Order: sequence, then structure tokens, then C-alpha cells
Amino acid sequence: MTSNLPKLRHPADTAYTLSTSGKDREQWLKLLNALPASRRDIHHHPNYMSIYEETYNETAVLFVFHQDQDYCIYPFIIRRIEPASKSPCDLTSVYGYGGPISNRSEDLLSPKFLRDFQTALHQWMSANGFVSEFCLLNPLFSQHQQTLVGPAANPAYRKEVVVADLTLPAPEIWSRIEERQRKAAALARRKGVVIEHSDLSATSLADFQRRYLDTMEVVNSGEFWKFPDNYFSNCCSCLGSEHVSLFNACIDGKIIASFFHLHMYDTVYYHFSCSDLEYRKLNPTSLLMLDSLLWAKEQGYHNFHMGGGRTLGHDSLFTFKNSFCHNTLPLSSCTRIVNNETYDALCVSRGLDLSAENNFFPLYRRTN
Amino acid sequence: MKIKAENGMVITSPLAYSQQEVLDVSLAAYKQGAEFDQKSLRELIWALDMMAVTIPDNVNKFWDPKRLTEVSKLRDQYFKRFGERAYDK
Repeated sequence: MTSNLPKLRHPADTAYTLSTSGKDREQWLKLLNALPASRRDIHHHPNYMSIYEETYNETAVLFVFHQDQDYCIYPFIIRRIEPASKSPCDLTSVYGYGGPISNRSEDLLSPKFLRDFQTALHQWMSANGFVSEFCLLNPLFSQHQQTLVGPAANPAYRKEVVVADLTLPAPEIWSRIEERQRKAAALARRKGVVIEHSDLSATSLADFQRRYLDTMEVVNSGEFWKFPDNYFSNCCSCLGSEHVSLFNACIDGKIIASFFHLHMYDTVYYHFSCSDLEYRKLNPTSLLMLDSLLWAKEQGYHNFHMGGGRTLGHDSLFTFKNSFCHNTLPLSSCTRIVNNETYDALCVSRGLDLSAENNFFPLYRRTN
Repeated sequence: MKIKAENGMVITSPLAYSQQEVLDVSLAAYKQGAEFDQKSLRELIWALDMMAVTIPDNVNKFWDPKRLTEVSKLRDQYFKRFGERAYDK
């Protein structure tokens, strides 16, 4: 799918947008792969954006800003606010993280570059009818991204996410796992739990999705987490099977828990999981996490990103993840109202109280 | 098709086996009286414990009792020499 928005050609051609297909995709990949290795990430890859284009029929765009030898790239999803084709739209990071990334480290970017990038982005959003911008900055290079977005995007701390450092020797990774989890994993093995690296056939993915949806029902999750039928298969078809791993914990041949990981460049992202509560006492998720960590280490990855909890606080999911490494990074979000008048009008038309204390952004998308 | 080795080894086994030889050499050296500083001894204990869980064969056999005794002794020695446990958590 390509964007139907006009490409912006600024004076001196310093800012433009790319789609995820054709020659645009080639250019996108060139820009991504020319970044320093430590700042290349799956969330900036066109194939990752394509998962969401394919699954939700959304439009993904890469905003590019050049100045001399420096550039930054900013991938995002464009969403129409109302069904009509001429509806105003807003800009959001894809599931996971977004935000801009530059080829130059933040301490070497000139104030002029930062100012001109922010101006160009704002002009592009205004010219194309955007109402608001929302993105989550990647905790792995949050400082870099906060420098790029600047204060106008209101970067704000949200919560901690857990990231294990895989550059440590394997025994040290082991030593950072809490005793209760080390014992839980050992107990799972002794009771016969086996971890399998599953294939990614249509049957295996459909089975994972069924069990994932069952888990979401049991934990009474929101609609957001109930992904469409083609979501997991789109992860594989868009990214390629070499960037997706499905691990199953089995007892006597029955799958009782699974982890679904995405991995590219230096990082493994623990993406989704499911488990059968009936077999909880066998500790399959503790063993899955241990084996996932050591597998990722063996594969040469540098980071194992587990994410945060279900809430902004330190809930049970966060505590579980953190017990495997005790290493967290701050997650920040950016929110910007591009068109105040339309933003307010949309909120009022939907009966939302603009003066009330509210962390939801953009407010007009709040449904409850 | 499930990717699983014949002997029940699973995804962590390559990492564990890649360290087995190094571990055996270290343990033999320690038992023969080689001087181990705190860091080296602690890492030896970590590695032995990790191997017990990462290689399913080891777990299924509950480790060789001789090896279990060795690890237990190492922990005791570590605690007596340095006045703390080998793990922080």
C-alpha cells in the first residue's frame, strides 16, 4: 500500500516522505542501514510497518529530513480520524515504538539541524491536515530521540520497561535471575516441561493465535489486544521467518505456554505470550523466559526487550519480567497537538470534556 | 515439524554445551588447588548452576550426585571465604 498523501518537496529538497513499497522501500532501507548499528531497530524497518498496513489497512510513511551530511528518519502510521476520505488524520507510532532517529549522535547534531527538522515536520503535518501526533520513544535510544523531538513534542516519562543485557557472559545473565525464578525453571525441567522451537507453519501460527486469544479472554484484556486472524501470519510474511521465533513449552506433547518473539539487528523483542492456567504450577513461563534469554544470547543478540507491565505501575507482569534481569529503562511518549481548533472541535463533537484531567491522547479517540 | 534434538536437548543446549569443556577445565583446576579469586569462584558456581538447568539431560538425571556434592562444597567454601552468598538476589 502506498500513501495517497502528497510527497513534500521542501526548498532545497531537505524533507520528503517515503512509502513502504517499490523504490521508496529501497530508499527507506538504504537510510535505515546507513544508521550506526546501535540505532538500527526493527520498529524503523519498512517490513515491520507493513505488518500494520496489511493487518489494519493503515498507511505507513517514513518522514525524512536531510541537511548536509546529517539526516533523520521518522516512521509512523497515518490514521484517518473519521471514515470519510477527506477526514482529518493523525499520526501515531506503530505498535511498539516509533520516533525519529538520526545518523548523527545526539551530541553532534547542530541546533540548526534540530530546529529545522522540527519546523519541517510541523509544516508537513500542518500542510497535510494532521490534528495530532503521538509516539512512544524506544527506551534503547531514548536520549537520542528526546534530543530530536525537542520540547515541542512534550516528551514525558510513562513507565519502566525491562531489557536484559545479553552482552554479559551467560553465567552472569543466569546470576541476575532471581532465585525463585531459577528454581521455578529447574522445577519445570524436572517435571518434564520441554521447550520447543516451533516452525512457523500456518497450522502452528493459527494454533498460537487460538491459544493467545483464549489467554486474553481469561485475563479479561481489552479489545486492543485481540489481534485479527491474520496478524501473526502477517508478522511472519512481512518480516520473514528468520526474524520471528515461536517457542512452545510442552508437557507430554501438549503445548501449555508459548512465547512469540520478533528479532532483528541487535534486539530480540518478547512480543506476545500465552499460557494455559491449568498448568501454571509447572512454571512453563519461567522456563520459557530462561531458555529465550539464553537462546538470544547464543544467537548473538545484545538486548532482550521484555517490555513493561499491563499498567504504568509495577504490576505482576512487570514484576515477573523484572525478576529475570533487574534492569529497566525509562519509556517516554511524545504528544503534540498540531491543529488546536480541530482537536477541540473533535473532542466536543464526541462529548468529551477538554478541561478534565486526562492522560489519554489524543483525547478524541477515547471510546470509554 | 518441531525442532528438537533426539536426546531431548532443546534450544539452550548449544550454549550450555559450548561452555561444558571450559567449565570442566575450571573445576578440575580448582579441585587441584589452583588459586581462584572471588570473582572467578563466583562465576564457576554460577556456571555450574546454569548448566544444571540449561542441559535437560543434567536436570533429568538430577545431576550426577558427585557433581551436586561438588557444587554444594563450592558454595560453602565461597561463603566461608568471602562472608556472602554467590548470588545477589
